[in-house]
Amino acid sequence: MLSSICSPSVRSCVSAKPSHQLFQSEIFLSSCNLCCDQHIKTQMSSGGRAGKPKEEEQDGMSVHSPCKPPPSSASSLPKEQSQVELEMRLLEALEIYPPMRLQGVHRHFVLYGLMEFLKRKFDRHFSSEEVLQLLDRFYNIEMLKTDDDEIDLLTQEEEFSLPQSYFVKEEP
Amino acid sequence: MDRLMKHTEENMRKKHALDEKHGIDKNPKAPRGPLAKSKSTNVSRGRKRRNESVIKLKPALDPDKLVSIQIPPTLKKQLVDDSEFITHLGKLVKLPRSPNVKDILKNYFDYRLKKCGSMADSVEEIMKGLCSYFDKALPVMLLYKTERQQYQEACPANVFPSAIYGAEHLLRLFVKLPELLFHASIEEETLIGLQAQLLDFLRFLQKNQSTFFLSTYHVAEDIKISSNK
Repeated sequence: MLSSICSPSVRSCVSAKPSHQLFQSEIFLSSCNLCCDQHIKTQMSSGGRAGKPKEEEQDGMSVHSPCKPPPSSASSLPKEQSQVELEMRLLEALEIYPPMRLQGVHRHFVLYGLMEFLKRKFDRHFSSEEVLQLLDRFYNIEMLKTDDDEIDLLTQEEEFSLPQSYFVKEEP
Repeated sequence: MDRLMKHTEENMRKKHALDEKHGIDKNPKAPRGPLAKSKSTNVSRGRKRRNESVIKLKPALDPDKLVSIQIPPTLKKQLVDDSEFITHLGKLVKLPRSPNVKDILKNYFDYRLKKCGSMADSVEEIMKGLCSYFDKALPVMLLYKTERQQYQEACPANVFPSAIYGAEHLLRLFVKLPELLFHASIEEETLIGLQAQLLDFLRFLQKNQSTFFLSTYHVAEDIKISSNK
């Protein structure tokens, strides 16, 4: 796998580690883009643990990395940085909202939670479509397994009843 | 041992030696002695807790962590009347309802879309979330005992409850919503915003109370006769 191109020291740079195992190498790689980009390049150019085709090594980026290769001109650098920042914030959000909840009964509220989280961090509106596209770089959401069954609340049938407070007449 | 000491070759050798001495099996799935039937493979748990994994307890919800949804007084009264009709007078809501839950959620989304344009997609997500909760929760926790048979008859497996039921049952969802949302693990800041959105939706229901809610419920027998015709 691609993760093999990075040394353990690079791995330790990754702060966001979603518990889900799916596509972890992609997550890890994209995280590397932020904090360890230079480190990866150094590792690769010095031989490191690479063993990957040369075309991948030329620009120091993996062809599987969610990020585009580094810009050739300095003018597009801020855009690249914001992209990386976006990915890091999303990974941060996924620590709060487990990706498996993107399937199952809570999926819409979890997506809403992610939209609001990013909105707060970047002070701009994020559409559900935009968040889903961003998530798509890390997860094949359709493949995720929900943990709905672990929530007893929605599996144990019970009769509806109003709380007692509803029947207490309020003093005029 | 392996957690307390540094991960070095020498320490790993010590660990293996100790493991062998205490007879710890490397493969935890293999059945061993009296613990073979227990789900737990953690030997350090001790005997007292051996059977705990078998008993599944409903986790206690901390009321402080639940989102508070203030249902407007007129809608609270609607819920009390609904309870009276069904549990004391033996009546039922005639199904299918029009507008149904899907229609109502769509109505509200359209209303918000006019107000805030493209920014309304967070509202759309909340409406979809409510619909998803409703479909899942209706048969599990939104029915009175006397409504269960009607549900079996009116709601075949391939039809979602949100296409059959209306505002009366949707309002009941709001009583259960804090518990459901608890399991979505939404952070507090977002929860405050969500609380405001939900309250706005309830005000919308309140404003349209006369068109969305039934004023009279039907006697169960009447419903059976009319559906047999």
